[in-house]
Amino acid sequence: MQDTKTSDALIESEVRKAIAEDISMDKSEALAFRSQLDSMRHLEDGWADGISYTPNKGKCETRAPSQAGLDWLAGALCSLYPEDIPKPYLYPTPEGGVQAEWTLGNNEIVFEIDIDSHSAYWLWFDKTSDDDEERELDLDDAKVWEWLVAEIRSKADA
Amino acid sequence: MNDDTLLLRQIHLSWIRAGEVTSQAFRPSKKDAGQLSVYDGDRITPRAAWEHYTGVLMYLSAGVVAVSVSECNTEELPIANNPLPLFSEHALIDFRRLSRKSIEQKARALKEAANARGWLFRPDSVPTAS
Repeated sequence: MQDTKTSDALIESEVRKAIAEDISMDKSEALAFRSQLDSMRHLEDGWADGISYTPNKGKCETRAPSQAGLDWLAGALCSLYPEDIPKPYLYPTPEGGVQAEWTLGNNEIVFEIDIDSHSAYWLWFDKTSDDDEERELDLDDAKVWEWLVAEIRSKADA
Repeated sequence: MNDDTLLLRQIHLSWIRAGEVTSQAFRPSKKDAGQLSVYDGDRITPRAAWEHYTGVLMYLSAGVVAVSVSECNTEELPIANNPLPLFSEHALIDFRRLSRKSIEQKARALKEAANARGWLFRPDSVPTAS
């Protein structure tokens, strides 16, 4: 087992390496679904807890996305989300899910995905008005993906 | 603390995309119980805050961004000093009693303000936006 100093040094080294990779990444690369999801695969339970990130230091309060969930989401996005509409930023949530964000003109979209239950929370709002909409969605329903694609296409064209 | 005071937020590496901070960094998680931890920028510099966060509290941070008290006021988010042992500069931005929709909207607004201001500190010689 690594001692704490060695473990912390490794974590710091990983942070610096990842920062350098992120800075060198252009936006099209950053938006590729698989690369975004793959960047979450190294996370462990407790990843956003701070001190308890280091294994065996206590109870973890935050969860890492499951590998099975990431596999499912990568497959769904690659097969059901067309190439010709804007791709979102994807990032992990402390609850073990994945959140997608789009900014399309004045349209802001939040799409929080529970990758284990295949459900999602959708929030759209217009930055210049009080217009907004929120929904709970079942991502095992192919019609929901069709609806999502239509919404993104519509907001991107607005 | 006044309207111009900067509230310093440590950013986890996973909440950076193409050099910009995502709104997740400004959305309290379940463990935060609706209150977002920040440093009072009147009392500590961004570099010192990062050194404290990573070296004393032993948390992970890929850099420091900030929102001002004025920007929080615009979003009607209360702020309170909340000194802790080993963390006297600790303050909280209060998202409690807000709906999920409001939390997301306000987190988005804070993210935009922080990204417009740019990185205040990143470790090593990683370039900043300012």
